[in-house]
Amino acid sequence: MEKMLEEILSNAKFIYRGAESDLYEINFLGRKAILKWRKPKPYRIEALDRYIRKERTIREVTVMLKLRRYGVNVPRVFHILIENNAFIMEKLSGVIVRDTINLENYKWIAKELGRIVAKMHNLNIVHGDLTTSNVILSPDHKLYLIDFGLSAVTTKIEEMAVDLELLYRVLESTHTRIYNEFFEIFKEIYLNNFSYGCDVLREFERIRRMGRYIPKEERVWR
Amino acid sequence: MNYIMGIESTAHTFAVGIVNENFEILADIRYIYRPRRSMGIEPREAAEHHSKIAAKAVKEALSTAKISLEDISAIAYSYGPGLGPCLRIGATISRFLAAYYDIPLYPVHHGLGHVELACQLLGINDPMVVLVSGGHTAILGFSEGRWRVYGETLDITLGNLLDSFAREAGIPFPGGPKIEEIARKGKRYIEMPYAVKGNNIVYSGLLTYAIDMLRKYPLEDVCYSLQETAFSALVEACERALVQLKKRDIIIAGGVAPNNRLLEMMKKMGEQHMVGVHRLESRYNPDNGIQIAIVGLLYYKSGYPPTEPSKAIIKQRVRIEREEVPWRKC
Repeated sequence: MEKMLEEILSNAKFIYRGAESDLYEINFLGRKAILKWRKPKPYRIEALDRYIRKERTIREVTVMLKLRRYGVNVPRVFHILIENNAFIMEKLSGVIVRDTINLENYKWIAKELGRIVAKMHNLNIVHGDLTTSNVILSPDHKLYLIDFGLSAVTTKIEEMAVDLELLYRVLESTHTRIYNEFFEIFKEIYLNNFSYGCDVLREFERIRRMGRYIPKEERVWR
Repeated sequence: MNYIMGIESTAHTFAVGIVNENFEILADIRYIYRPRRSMGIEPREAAEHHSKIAAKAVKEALSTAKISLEDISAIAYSYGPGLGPCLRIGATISRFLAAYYDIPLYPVHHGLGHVELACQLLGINDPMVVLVSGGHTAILGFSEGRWRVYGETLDITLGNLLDSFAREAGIPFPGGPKIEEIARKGKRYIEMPYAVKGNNIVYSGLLTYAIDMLRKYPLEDVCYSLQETAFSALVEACERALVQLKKRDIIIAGGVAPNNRLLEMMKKMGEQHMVGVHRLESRYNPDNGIQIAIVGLLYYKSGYPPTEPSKAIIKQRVRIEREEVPWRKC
């Protein structure tokens, strides 16, 4: 098993270092593919590190397979190297939504993303890191979700609301001009497509006020 | 020469600092309220302590700096966030001095003090700041006119976690340094709840769990596992924020910053992204008057309008994003 990763890496092209893992472009049975490898983190002690990496790799692959089966656009998983905490998936062409979003296309993106997130939550899956950097706009005009490292299978309304909260925060801090309208459109479509949407949005309003040092009038606890 | 006086009284420390216009530190007087053994801060008692030594601290600061009150160009005080009774002492003294001697007055956000002091003394202009103390656990970066929060704790802070745990374990106040010392003897890692949500962290579950483990395992192992779990989660959140923000430097600031294990972990993470990790000398990490004076000086130099003594209030809860930072360009 160890050998297999070494062999793959010898022909791989390093493309990106994320917070959690390194991405390499490789050739997998004649196709262009991506190897996502969760390297050991030197700052964590081994016992904790091994556990976290293994758990997240397995969960990520499981979630991606399930979403794919139910027709949510995510990259296809080709192969998993369980011993190495790595897996191989389809290489998507396209651009990251964070870099491509503009005043012309944001309404369409908001609608489409609302529909996708509603569908995902309907399947009891939360993304865990739902930012505009983790959404890809493909050349055939479809949105793909990527990076399910922090995802979870859950029926908890609170965790779904955390997805929306993170999305809202990212919009607020990086897409300052459009975030309000973007989120309004997103919310409407999300509500129409997810029967527990109302509950999630109520919870969203609650956790949005959970940070520290929120003034008395606005806070939810203490 | 212009001199700025900073008065700090957000929690257990009453401190007076004086700096001159070249950012040179002339006086740094601190009096720290010590709770009874193994107890937390009692706000009213702390305030009483502050009110008794306040005048003495101001006099001492002036004599150390070898200046008189007439030489002071501006007074800055920490107006929040913090414990109400304690904040009130600092604010009252500052209002009195400002009104009686007709000196411009600046209310300063306490967290902003930690951040700007670190930037000034380390000479780093655009870092990602990890502010870890009893009041804050936040990952900050400057963008569009404000210090923005890119990740933070959703419940209790890292300082809170360590202090509360120490209290339950019977370790005397302040618990952080003692826990670090004990943890060095720990060998076995006990699995504990590890919660990272995006760039945010959650600590309260970990606290409950660690306290429970005290009954089953030796203290060394619990301290060791608690530190490893809490810091790993924080460093992971920082790593995520760093990849997003693309800053070249990380500064660890605040009361938990002197912890060497945290620095070591952060450095290992930084190395992988070719980012420098820095922190101040230990004595500037706990609450002090210099941090308030420095921000006062920055306001003063940028021509920011001072506050009327009658309008100089305190706020127990205020977020750092609300603070205007007129001396920084976006």
